[in-house]
Amino acid sequence: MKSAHTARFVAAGVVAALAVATAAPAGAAAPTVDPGVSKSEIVIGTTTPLTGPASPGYKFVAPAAQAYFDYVNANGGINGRKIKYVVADDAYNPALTKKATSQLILRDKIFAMFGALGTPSHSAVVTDLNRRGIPDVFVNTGFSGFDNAKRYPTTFPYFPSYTVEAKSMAFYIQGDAALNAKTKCLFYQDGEFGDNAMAGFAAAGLSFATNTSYSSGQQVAPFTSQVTKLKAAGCDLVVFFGVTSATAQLLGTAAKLGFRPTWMITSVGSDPSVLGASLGASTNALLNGIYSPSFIVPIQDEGNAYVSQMKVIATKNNLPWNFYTYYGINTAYVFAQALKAAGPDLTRASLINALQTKASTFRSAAVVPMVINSKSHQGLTGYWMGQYNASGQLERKTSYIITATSATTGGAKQSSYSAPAPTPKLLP
Amino acid sequence: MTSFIDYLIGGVSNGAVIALMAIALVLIWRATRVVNFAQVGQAMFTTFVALTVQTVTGSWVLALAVAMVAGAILGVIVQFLVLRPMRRADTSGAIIATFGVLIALQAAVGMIWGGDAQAYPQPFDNAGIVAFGRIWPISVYDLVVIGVTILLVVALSLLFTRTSIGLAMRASAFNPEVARLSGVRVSRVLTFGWALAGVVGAVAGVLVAPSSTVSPTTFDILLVFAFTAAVIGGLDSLVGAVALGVFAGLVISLVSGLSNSGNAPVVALILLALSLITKPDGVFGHHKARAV
Repeated sequence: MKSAHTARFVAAGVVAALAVATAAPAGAAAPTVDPGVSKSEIVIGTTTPLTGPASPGYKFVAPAAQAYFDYVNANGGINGRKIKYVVADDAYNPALTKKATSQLILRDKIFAMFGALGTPSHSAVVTDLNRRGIPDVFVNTGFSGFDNAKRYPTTFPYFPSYTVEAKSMAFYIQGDAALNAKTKCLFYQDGEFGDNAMAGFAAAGLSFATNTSYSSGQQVAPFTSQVTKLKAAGCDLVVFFGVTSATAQLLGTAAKLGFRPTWMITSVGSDPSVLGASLGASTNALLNGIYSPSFIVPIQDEGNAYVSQMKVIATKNNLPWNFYTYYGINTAYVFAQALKAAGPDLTRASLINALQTKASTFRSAAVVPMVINSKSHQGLTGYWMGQYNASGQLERKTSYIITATSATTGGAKQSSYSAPAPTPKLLP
Repeated sequence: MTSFIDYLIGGVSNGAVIALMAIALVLIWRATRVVNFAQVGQAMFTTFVALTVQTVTGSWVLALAVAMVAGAILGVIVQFLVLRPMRRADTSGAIIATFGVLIALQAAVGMIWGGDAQAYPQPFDNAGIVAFGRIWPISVYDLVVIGVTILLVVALSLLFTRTSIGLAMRASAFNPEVARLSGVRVSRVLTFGWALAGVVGAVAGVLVAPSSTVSPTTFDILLVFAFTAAVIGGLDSLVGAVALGVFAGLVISLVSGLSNSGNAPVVALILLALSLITKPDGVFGHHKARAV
């Protein structure tokens, strides 16, 4: 019995040794090649709402990124490789996101995801992307839950989180005696979007006299009940965390009910070009005086080297020049720098390493610092506070910036940061 | 207390629109025993037609009229192309087919007008009416919505009780065999029912559009509430559809104001379940004693 056992053991050892011996030379001859990378091409993918209720505005983000990649490709690509960007429409529907992401992975064999858009939609696939080790770079949402280097080691947010945004708003309100003296109220979108914001306000120690909410996609009932509630509570500063189409409905309903508080609206919910489609001619009048934070050079600042060059890329590709095309091109620019920084032997590991060690050297139109390392995948870290003027432009109110982390404790703080100039010709 | 009254007032015009959509569902159910899930798709399509007319001509009345005609035509097309070929299939097949029509219409609208939500211009003053020293959550436009709904309901009841086509419709719904033997051309009457439902749905779409936006999927949630109202109302009762439609508007407004709007569809579902358990034929429905 014993000898048979030994013989089997030896046999197993020989097989194992043979396996190692045959595998080793192959591995030594060609370094590991990840899917989606060849000598001439890098295939990346994204899921984004090109159609459906969330598409107004957001549908411009991916085409703008595409325009930038085309521009890079026309100028020689990145380390000799052209970028192939596969854009899949998921209509902001998590079930479709799952299907589209599987297709990107299995059919298109993407090297990395870039700029996937939407909190509920991306939540449906983030675990799978990480399990497969696919870099999931610059998710287009401010949901703080994606900033978790331990749980999602391959996922990298770009936007400052909604928690950071709420903390920044709280910091500004608390520092402005007139605003702070008002009866402050909160109106938010149900779900992680609103939860993130409330966590930020709680951490910053800003409390509200009353709060109310709406559920995303509820379009038929106007916000009459919610506005009635805010009005009855005597609110004269209303902070709103919702998508742009909901902002339009809110401002319209408030005008109907003669409710005129001071508004402070999330950076993702106040694009004038999208509001204009719903509110028509009264847009600028309704926006005038509304506070909204931002982390980027004001879009109308065309003397700025980032803004002027990005606008040229958008308009050359027949895209409108708005916040969404601006963000799309800007994020693609940062991603291209990360790909370049990963070196000529591009692998998933080298891209992740570049992001975690060189993020502070990446340039962009953002005017707040970016923090990415092996422990934190926070991305951008703060905001400046702005206010809309009578011509629908967001003017900077603070010369300083307000920075924070997404932690559930601790507020924001005032800081300063001078952003570096763009690389020549805006190429990585 | 004031806000409680405000919630109720604010819910009436929304309820009127739900009532109209519920009427459209009931009209088709009575005639064919099919729940037409494509009704909101048809309404959305005709609302886009109205938007185009309104943009070109600037006339709200003309836009509404064109939408009503388009609603009738679209209703007839759907019935001819989809429901008529399926009349020998069982009703569940036909109901699923109407889902298919809804998806096809949403795609068609996306192709013609794009997927973006578009603003529908406000035809009348939408500022809250000022009276007794305060602003009420109801505008001139809301009154127009309520007025048009009342007119339409009165017109429909006159049609059913005072005209021969109304009699033929009731006869065909009650007993198609006997109606046919009495000389009623039942299939024509059914087609007329689809056209009529299309008109009512089209009016609902045009009326709700300025308070919301129009996009291929905007009206989907309207279907949830209209369907709930129609079922609780008894599915074959016009009075039930109107009463429960308005009631649904009030409930949505109250729930959104007192708790939050995400709970409104949940409350609708609970009411639907309770009603089906306690009164399976609906509050205003006829007992099915005749179905031997």
